Amino acid sequence: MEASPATIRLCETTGLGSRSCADHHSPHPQHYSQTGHQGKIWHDEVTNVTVELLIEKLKPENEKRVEPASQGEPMGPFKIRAEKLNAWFGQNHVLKDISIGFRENEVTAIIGPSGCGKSTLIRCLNRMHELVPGARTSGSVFLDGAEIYSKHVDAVQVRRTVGMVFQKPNPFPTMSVYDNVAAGLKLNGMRNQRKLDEAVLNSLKKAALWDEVKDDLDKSGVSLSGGQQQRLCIARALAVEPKVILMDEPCSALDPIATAKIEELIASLKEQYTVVIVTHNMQQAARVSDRTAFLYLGQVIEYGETTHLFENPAQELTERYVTGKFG
Amino acid sequence: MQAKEQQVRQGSNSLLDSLGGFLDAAFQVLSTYSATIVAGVLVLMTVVLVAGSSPVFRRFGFIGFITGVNWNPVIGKEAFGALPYILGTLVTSAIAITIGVPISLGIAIFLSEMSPWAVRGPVSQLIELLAAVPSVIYGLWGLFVFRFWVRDWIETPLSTYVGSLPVFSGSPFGLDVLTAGLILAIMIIPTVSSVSREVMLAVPNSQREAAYSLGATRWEAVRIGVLNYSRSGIFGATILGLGRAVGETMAVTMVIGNAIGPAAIPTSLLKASQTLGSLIANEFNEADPTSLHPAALIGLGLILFIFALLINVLAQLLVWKVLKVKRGSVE
Repeated sequence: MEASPATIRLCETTGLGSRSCADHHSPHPQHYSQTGHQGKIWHDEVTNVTVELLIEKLKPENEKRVEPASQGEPMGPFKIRAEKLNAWFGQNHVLKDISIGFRENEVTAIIGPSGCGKSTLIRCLNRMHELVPGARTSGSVFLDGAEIYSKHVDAVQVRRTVGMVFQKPNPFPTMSVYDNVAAGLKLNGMRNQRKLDEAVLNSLKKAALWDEVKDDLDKSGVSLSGGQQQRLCIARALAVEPKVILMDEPCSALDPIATAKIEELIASLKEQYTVVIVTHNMQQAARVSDRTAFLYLGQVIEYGETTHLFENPAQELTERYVTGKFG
Repeated sequence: MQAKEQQVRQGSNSLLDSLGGFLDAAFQVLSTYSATIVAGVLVLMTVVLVAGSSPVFRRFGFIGFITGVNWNPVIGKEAFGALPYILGTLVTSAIAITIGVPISLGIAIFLSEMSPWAVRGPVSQLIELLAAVPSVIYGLWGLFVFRFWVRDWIETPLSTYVGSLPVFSGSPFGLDVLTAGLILAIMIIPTVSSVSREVMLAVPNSQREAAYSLGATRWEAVRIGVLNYSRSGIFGATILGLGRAVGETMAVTMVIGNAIGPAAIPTSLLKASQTLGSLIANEFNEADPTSLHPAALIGLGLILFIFALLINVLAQLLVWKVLKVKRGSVE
């Protein structure tokens, strides 16, 4: 087994013994290293997150199942990646040194208890966070390798590439279904009626809404049902042809049937987009996502394949959360 | 001992209770009366205006009165027509809305969307102070200061360059329709801007976020997220401003030039005119109680009253509608 230079440095800085360090790099995901250290700090290779072991505080008797968060995760090509990302609301430090990447053509779910920073994390990915008075960030977010927080990048451009769907459906109430979908395109200066028609048609089809609204394109966007409104918002986001779609608890205001439709839609969206979905519904995360990140108190506790994270969590804290013991 | 204490407490309680019950009943009666008085005043006003103006309507007919252009209170040669003053009121109010509303919207957008939190409070307070200035002060300022600004900086250039257009004909003097309209524009700014600001603040944040997430710039987010959503409320604010402009009397009387009869028809911005309110203020003092003159003036008052009532009811309905949408499902 090879320990990369970074690994050695990590082991040194974290003060873990060489034996446990070797254990940390076992290729077997199910392997749990044993350490006798209290107040351990470890470094996760993939997500590069330093996490203080909150677990110990919660359950000191269980020290055996300690493993770097995403062991066994290959370094994939990330479409969008946060590096040492910190976010604040005034004095409140919500995201702490988060490094996490999201892959193309996958759905990544972010789960965690209320207030852990899930929404803030995705709002940092399209620079929506900075719109809140008193909010600020530090660190980097790379979209296709380009830093979106660079001085030369306009937040407006970032948001056209990284679309967002919100918790409550928020169509523009004074606009028709058609105009809602066309709103983003018109902002981009598209005036050609034929192209607009085409884009509206395609977006509504992609959002699985076309069949339901094709005869009511002139009706107000808010005349639709809640689930239809949310799909309208998805269509509106898709119309500007983003590369990444962020969804902030998109089903939390919807009934089960509408939720099922949106979930189906999310599964089809990943063929073309990178999807990141925040959800407080763990079943939903398990159903729709390929990978899941578990956030707690502004830090990534565990990040890995969804099936693995739910069925065989490496972290005690994760297990306790996914089995509903807290949160 | 405990039982005694309880007894004492119970005794005092029942005394207090009965006193409280009486006060409750008294308060209910009092507040009901206060509420009734408001409605009563409105009804009485209508009755007095209708009764007081009936002689002039009997003489000239309602249509004759509101379409007539002559105004002569001399007994034996009486002629009373309200048309020039109705037009004067409408034209000055239209100028006020055209100029005052965009400025007010700019202020409201600045205060609700753009300004830093520290600036927001003080600036709103300052603008609301404008509403506290008595209208006679606006009139004095208009007469002694503003009039000359308007004459030298607006009317003289207008007259020089576009004076051939009928709407700008006449010689710049400063006491005319334009000055009155501009003073009214300033006077409606506090009302229109504070109501529109409230309406804009009532727009849920999700609307702004929806716009931003599509790649809207700040102005675009205001336009499609905020202005669209609050447009009927803004319209209501405008109508409220119109209500104020239509009813405003003192300041207008001091700057409008006070023309009478056909000369008061506002055919040009640079012409002296008269509004319903200003004519009443100008002439009520000298009206001969034995003549038709007071009835004619009360007739003007009735027309003004109807205008103001309709405008305000419309405005209230519109603003209500917006505040209901805010609590509705749209959020």
